[in-house]
Amino acid sequence: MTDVHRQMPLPLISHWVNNVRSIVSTELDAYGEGLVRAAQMVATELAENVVRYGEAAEGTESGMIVLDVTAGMLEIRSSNGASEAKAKYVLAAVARLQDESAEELYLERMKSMLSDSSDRFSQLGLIRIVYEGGFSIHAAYEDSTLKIVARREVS
Amino acid sequence: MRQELVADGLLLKASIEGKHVAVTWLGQSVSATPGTEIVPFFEKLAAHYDGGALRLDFRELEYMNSSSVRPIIELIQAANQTETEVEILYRSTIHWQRLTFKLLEMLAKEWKHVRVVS
Repeated sequence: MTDVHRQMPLPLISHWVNNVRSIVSTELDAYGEGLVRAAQMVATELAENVVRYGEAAEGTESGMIVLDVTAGMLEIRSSNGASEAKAKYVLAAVARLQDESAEELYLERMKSMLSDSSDRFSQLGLIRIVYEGGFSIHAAYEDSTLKIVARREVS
Repeated sequence: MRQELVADGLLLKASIEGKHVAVTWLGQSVSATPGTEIVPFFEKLAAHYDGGALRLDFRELEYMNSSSVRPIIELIQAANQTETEVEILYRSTIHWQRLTFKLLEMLAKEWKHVRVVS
């Protein structure tokens, strides 16, 4: 029998999510504490969803968070591979956020969590982006990739 | 008696006096699985406060991710079910706290033993 030696580097999830918070803070420092905190929250919630629910797709094994400020608009975008079933769930959640009160959806989800402990995908992160962050949110699914865009004007 | 939990940027400081327990939340709750740390910590504390009093002070908590919400509201619900008098303190001048605990206050209307105070 031959000896076996194989190194398998693993990403340190909390390190990378903390990295996202740190980068957002640095890049948006000139826009004031309020926007920095909101953007950190949005980027963190999207990043956590990427690492928690993202799947390998199209030959890639990582997701992405993009931060853009252009012409007075702040955009934070996430993309990751996802199954059709997961994407459908997220698209439905985002559609509700576009049509209904984020505050009421947040309260509804909190009550649902208490009554059904098996309900593990809380959607609270997405809801919080709108309710607390004041961002609009949009989602699309194409070529096995789920893309979410959060937008907010920068005053 | 005092107990502490340090987990991934979050610090919980518990002060226990008989059946009165006060827990101060400090730092940031950013763990992807906060329940794995928070739940066992409060299960041990519940041996002291069940049927007594529990104060949860979030005023110095800098940030909490959405994953933290479930274990927190579940432990509050569990305490209410054992007729523990729960007092939740938050700072209304902090934007995320104001919005989050406003909803908890609405939820708490269904809990006889829970009070949310800013």
